[in-house]
Amino acid sequence: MPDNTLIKFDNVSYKIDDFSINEDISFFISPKDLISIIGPNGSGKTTLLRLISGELRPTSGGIFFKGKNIINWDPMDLACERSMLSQLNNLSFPFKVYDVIQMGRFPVKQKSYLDIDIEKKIMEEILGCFDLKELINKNYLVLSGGEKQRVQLARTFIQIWTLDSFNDKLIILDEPTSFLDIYYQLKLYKLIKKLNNKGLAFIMVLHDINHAFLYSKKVMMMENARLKYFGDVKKIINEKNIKDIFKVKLSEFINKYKYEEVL
Amino acid sequence: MSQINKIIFLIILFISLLLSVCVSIVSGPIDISLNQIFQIFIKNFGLGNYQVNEQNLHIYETVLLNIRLPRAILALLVGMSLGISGAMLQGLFRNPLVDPGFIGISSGAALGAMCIIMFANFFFTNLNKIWLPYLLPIFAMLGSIMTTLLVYKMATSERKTNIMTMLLSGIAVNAFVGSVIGLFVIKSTDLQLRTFTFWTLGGLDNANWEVVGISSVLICIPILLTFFLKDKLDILMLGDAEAAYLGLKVEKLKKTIIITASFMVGVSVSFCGMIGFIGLVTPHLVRLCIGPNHKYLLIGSGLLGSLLLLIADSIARLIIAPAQIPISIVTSLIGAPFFIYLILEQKRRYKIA
Repeated sequence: MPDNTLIKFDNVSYKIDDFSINEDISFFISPKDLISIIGPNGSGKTTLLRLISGELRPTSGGIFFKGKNIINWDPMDLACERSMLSQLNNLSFPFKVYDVIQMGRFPVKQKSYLDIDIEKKIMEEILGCFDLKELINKNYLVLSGGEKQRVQLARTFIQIWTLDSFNDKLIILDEPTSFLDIYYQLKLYKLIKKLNNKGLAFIMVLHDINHAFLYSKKVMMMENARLKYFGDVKKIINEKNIKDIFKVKLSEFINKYKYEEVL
Repeated sequence: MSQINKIIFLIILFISLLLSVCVSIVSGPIDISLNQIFQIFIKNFGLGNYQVNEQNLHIYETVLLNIRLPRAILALLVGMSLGISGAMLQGLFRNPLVDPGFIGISSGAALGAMCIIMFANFFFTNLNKIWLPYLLPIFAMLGSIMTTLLVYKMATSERKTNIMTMLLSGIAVNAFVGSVIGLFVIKSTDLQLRTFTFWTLGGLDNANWEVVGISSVLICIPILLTFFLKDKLDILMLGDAEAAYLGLKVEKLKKTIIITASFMVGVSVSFCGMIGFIGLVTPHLVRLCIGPNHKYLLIGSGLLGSLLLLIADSIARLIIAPAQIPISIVTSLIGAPFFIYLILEQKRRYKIA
């Protein structure tokens, strides 16, 4: 095991009453990893993300973030190191888009004195990344689903955004492409790749195996609350494993639709 | 709405509040002119050597300084606490149609009040009569704290408070407390029932400098606390999980909000009885004008709550002067139709959005 793990799971289980949602999961993630989690519905992907984020406490086992048990992290310090986007976002008050995005800067504001010029530049970069410049003064509630998702993505990314190095920081995304059209899906993946090259680690739940194959370095495959396969994309995503996990014959799909040509 | 417009809105609110204080202390069954008020203030606060030569000034002085002024100040304090706690609780529940009464604060206070009205003579016969006026607020306060804690505990399991459960258990506790009060009512004498009924309808007639002094301390401390919560309240709007990802200790924050809000309302209810709709309507109105940012919403709700209660109290005092009507009749008569309008408006909006 290398010394500089970003996240380490040590026999982690999470149960509600006697029902296991995550069972006996162990792995470690290094900085600069780009990982997607795939698996059938109800296999415990989202719960795994919530455990990684520190929101849920494991029933047994230990989760270590940068070598320190996640229970012992001060929530605000942790918020400056990792951010997370949930599947569902239900903001029901008419905040302006600008205000919603700015909420992402809250942890950094609590921890350090902010330079106004730098903050302005960060905001501009973020708005550029998600094409939100025109929406900035709009009421969040009147936006379309895709626009809302872009605002939430912007809020998640700005939380740990810096102008120089993203080393040792982590973004956790739960189905980041939901509601996004193909243009913004590709734009998001490009951004993720670019930031990953700058040292930012990603863990995301994806539904599309093709996307997982194309845009991540490593893949976790989950089945029945357990982590079944974990490793490099090219080794893990193959016909045998997919048939094993999803009960689907990959060859049928590829012959039918020729996905790679479409993409 | 830009930052500057929001500040201008708050300033306008503040100025109209000052004006309505003036109008409120000038008007009443006894006419006091502005000139006389001027003289009274000069006499009492020793500003310059202005010649005071008016007959009957001491009567006006008593009316103004010991009746109308403390009453106006109490209205300001109570209105402010109702408005701010309403804004906080609507934020906590992420629902703009929540009233402080929903989580048992008012019904608990009513139970406490009913207990003391029923049993004061029974338990405290030997007690010095001076203590009696304080017993009702103290018991009302205890009642509101106990029911709120009960509702909170019921909604909390494994260190997590479920907001939806809290609302539902609030409804159940309110119904239960209501029926316990009903049982007391069966056994009560006519005088006790009358006292209780008038208490539930609310009123600021208890206002004197002592009450103002006590309640200003008890209300202003939690209000000052809430201004440290403004950013956190904004972030809580995103959802419990999102707030946790942004580094908030969510359960601690919820607890702080519930305690400060219910304490403020508890103090108000104890001294002035139940005053409906101010806590519900005020934050909603302010949100319509300057948006949901708690930085401005809390201040705006405090100011507008004061303003509305002051106006309601003036109406209650003047409409059948020299007699008064209970203030909750005024606030509910105006507030209830307005609330229905808000619900319909919200329905219409969600159709568009």
